[in-house]
Amino acid sequence: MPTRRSHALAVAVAVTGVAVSLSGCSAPAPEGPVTISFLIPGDETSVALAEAQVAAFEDVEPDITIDIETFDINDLASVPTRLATGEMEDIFIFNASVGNVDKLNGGDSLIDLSGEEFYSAIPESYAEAVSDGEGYYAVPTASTSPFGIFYNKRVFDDLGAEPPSTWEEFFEIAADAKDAGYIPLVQTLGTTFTSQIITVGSFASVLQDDPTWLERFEDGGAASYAESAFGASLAAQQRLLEEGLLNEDFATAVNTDGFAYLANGEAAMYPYLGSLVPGLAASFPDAVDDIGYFPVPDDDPSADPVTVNLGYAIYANKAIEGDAAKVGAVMKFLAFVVSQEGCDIIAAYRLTGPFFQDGCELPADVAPALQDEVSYFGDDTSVTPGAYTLAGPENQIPILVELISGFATAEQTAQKLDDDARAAAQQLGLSGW
Amino acid sequence: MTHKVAFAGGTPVDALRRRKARGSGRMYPWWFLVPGGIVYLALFIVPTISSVFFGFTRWDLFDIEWVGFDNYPSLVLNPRSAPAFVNTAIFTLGSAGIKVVLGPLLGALFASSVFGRNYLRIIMFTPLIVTTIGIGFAWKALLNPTDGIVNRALAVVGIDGPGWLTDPHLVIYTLTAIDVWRGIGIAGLIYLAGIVAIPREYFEAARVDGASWWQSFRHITLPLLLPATTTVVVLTLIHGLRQFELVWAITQGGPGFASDVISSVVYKFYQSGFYGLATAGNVVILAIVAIVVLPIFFLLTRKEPER
Repeated sequence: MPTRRSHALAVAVAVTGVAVSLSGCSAPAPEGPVTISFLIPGDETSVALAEAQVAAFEDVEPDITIDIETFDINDLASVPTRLATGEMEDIFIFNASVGNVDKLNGGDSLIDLSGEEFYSAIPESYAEAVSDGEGYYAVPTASTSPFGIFYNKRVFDDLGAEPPSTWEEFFEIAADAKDAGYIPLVQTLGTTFTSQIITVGSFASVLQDDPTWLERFEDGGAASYAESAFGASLAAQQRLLEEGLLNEDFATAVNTDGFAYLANGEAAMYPYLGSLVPGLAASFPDAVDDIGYFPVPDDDPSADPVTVNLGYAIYANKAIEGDAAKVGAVMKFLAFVVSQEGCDIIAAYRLTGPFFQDGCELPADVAPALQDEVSYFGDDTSVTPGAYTLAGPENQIPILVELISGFATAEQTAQKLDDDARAAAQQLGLSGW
Repeated sequence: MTHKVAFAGGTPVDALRRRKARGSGRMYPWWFLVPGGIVYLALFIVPTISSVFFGFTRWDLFDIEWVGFDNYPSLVLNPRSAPAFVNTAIFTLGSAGIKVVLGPLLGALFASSVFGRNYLRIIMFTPLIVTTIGIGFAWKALLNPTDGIVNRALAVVGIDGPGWLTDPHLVIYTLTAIDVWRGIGIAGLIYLAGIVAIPREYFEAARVDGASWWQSFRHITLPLLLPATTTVVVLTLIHGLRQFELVWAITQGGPGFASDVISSVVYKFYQSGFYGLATAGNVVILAIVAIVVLPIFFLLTRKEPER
């Protein structure tokens, strides 16, 4: 039986508790301190980048605090799951691939950013990729990451070669490289996503030949892989193996092996994304100046269009819509991220290519590969995002691994990609399939 | 003259009999099953029933759309499914078959008085204690076609080792071998228990009659090991049909689709966001395991010899 003193103490604590919570009810007006939560991928670079962005932002806006949470990058599916179960933070990072907005349930779960002032800096080609037809839902927290082939400039000088524009020119260079004792092209199927670089990187060429290809493809399969620039790129990959133009360990090598081959001058070319540049700078800083870039070739010598990986983007959780203070804070942060200061921070941690926004300039001294990327973009500020048509990378990757390893021909691969899209379309309930 | 002590209502034994007749006594032992039953219900029965339900839907986490049986033909007609079923069959039958053949021999070895027997038991059992993922990564490194120890050792004797995990025709057999390596210890242990339980008299009688070791083994040990064989067969079939971690850790169903098994195909459906289809796939796995294992179990237990 509690003593009178402990009983009195309990009452005092309870009264204080009630008083504190009541005072919380009459909280200060919304201009007061606001805290928002931010979910980011847990890899080192993303964490360092986000912390730098948050620190710089909190300097400018001392009333706003941002709490960072991380998720495991090997478990990307946890992001839509968190959103579906209502446990998502106020803002979160996710890939900005075409179709991801649907995975995140579009306007029912995300805040439409199209009306915000800062959104006018975002090019329409990016906004379309993060839209469900009724609004735009994300801002980039990355620079463009172009698909393409990175080459060792010293090896090319030794061969007297120029960056090729067509597949024919490419195979001439590859044959010369092989005769001179270099590895013409490195493939690293140990890091499975790299099997898609050449194929998905041809998407801009596909659209250049036929701007309606994707719409026709998704509308009941009226277009096909075989009859487009994809067909040429699949045939080229088959030819690479047949003519012995790959490294011996292509089946098990990983991307860091690819960086090594390129940096050491053992190989002439390595297909990858713009993220090769910061990756190389981390492990082979002395070789960064030797590396150049050109987009995936096609059969058209007149233009070299670039397909781009959109990278990470920040989405806003619709659940906070009722809280004006939080929404205001979120919009201020997003405006900061897309501003020049925000871009400068990205440039310091993960610069993979030119920025999406017009207003963001690259720093003056960037690696030659990045300068090459800029030159291929030219004045065109629109980007062609690499699209995973209907079936996601989970199926595309094994199909392309089979092609590169020689277990399937280019025609069979094109047919499988079409069939896979059909199966996915039926599962998604798309009409016309 | 003896006095009978009279209890109101009879003796305590009569009272007990009356309580039992009313049935409340009979319920008493069943109450002990309630805690375990609740856990079983919540963690097994409820998820199984909800899985069957979701297998009839198209589900992308946000919306549930009833589609009836549509998912099941999609599963069967999916181009990945047939090769995955074949691979699962090769893996399961291969792994179970080898364990059933090598198990009794290993059990006999464990039961014998060979030097270092305890050490041998520990070594053979250790792979079961290590996580499957760890085993997967270790073997992936050992079997690397150019740098792995296995092929380098073969090169020393002049053999050009194949791509154990990179040759699409070879990879499922390599995975089966790794699974046998991992699980042979438990097969041996189960058979050891079975051998040790065989009465010594049978062997002595056989020796008196002049039987060789092999004859003893074939005519006494093996038939009396039928219960152990039943256990090993049932366990290895269930394990093989459901196998996921080893395949995923080593090849993720690759290279290409060469080592896809049913469970990795279902996992890839989850990754693609087709949650209804993937759940239907899990229901199919459950059905296959039940259809394959239950008849074999009943068949083998009916044949067990009387002791």
